[in-house]
Amino acid sequence: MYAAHADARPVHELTLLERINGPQHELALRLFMVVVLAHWAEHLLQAIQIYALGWPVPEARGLLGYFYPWLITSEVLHYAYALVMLIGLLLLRPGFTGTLDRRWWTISLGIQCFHHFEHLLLQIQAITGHYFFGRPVPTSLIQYWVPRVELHLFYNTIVFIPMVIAMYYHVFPRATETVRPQCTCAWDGGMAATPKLQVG
Amino acid sequence: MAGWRPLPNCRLVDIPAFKIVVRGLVLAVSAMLVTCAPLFAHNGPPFPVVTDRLVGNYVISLWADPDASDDGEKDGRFWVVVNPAVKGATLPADTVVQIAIWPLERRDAIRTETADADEREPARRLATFAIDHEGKYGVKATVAGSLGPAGIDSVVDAEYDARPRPFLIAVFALPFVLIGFVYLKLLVRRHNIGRGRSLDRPDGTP
Repeated sequence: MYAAHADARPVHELTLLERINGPQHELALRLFMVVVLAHWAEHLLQAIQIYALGWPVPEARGLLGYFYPWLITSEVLHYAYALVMLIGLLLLRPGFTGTLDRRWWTISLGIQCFHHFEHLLLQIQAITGHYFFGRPVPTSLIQYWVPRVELHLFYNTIVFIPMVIAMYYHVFPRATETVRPQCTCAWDGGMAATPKLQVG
Repeated sequence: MAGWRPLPNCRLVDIPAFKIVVRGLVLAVSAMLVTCAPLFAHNGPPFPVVTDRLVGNYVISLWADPDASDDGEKDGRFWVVVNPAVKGATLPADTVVQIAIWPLERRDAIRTETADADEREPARRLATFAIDHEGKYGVKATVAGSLGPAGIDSVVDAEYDARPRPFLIAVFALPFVLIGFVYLKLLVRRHNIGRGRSLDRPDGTP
């Protein structure tokens, strides 16, 4: 962790990490939200294709799957999205300087880290050929308690909810917050007189 | 976790609406994800159909992931884990496992495959089938070898793996509602600032 006075230097002298957690945090957060919502939109579109448009299930592959069917049948897309989520949560965390927003964002990041730990366990099982809990295929820990749930949806839901709570507290900080924001995300612009950028 | 404990002497009407909404959402989603688990007939990973049943000289388990497909892909997968009933004994190399499935409404459409042994775990055998429609299927596993014959059977529900449950539409829509709420409130606040009046409460809370 290091601290830097973001306002002591012109924007063009800041590192990328400092920029996206300082003056461009709002923009970066919005772009991240676009990616997140695009992912949810794919799931929503698939459900609409099935239940509203009456498409056969194999044909209902969302927008990306419509043009690139192989994406849906492979794990590549799901894992790539999980990776993007992890990177986004990690990179944008320093910009959450309040108590509540940082706490909720960190909870979201922690769950996403555990999600990746599960992927690691699956990979280890696939490599060694020894599967957990006597199952015939590689199995994640959560599957032991929630055996047949759609894990991709489960993880994305429990990562998303604390993330949006963090965003709310970030955009509408409580009056009791003592740390002034270093970005412009807050509803009042949030640019403090002497903001301090903490990265890490 | 801060924000979850009500403040001392705090009346319900004093709790910010957002906090109430968040509590409700977290509880609702948690309850839904936990209680709906049994509704996932077989969507996702394989599930046990028969577990450690003693049949003849074997202990047999049957696992299934009976996904239907329209493109002829063999997405319906069935595993048999077979071990000698005598503890410590090894499974004879001549042990053969066959798995048969059939739509319950058409017994004559039975198909049989010899299950392949896993390279690293010979007790684990896998057979795959192209299941061209959803519905109930009978499944039967027969074991033959120097330890004698044995067989088990059961019924499974075949479904398209990619079909989301109708109630999940609400889950898919939830992020748009939540993010929409945050950004709409932000827009209103900033709009009001622009017009020279603030929605700030006297105590400074949003």
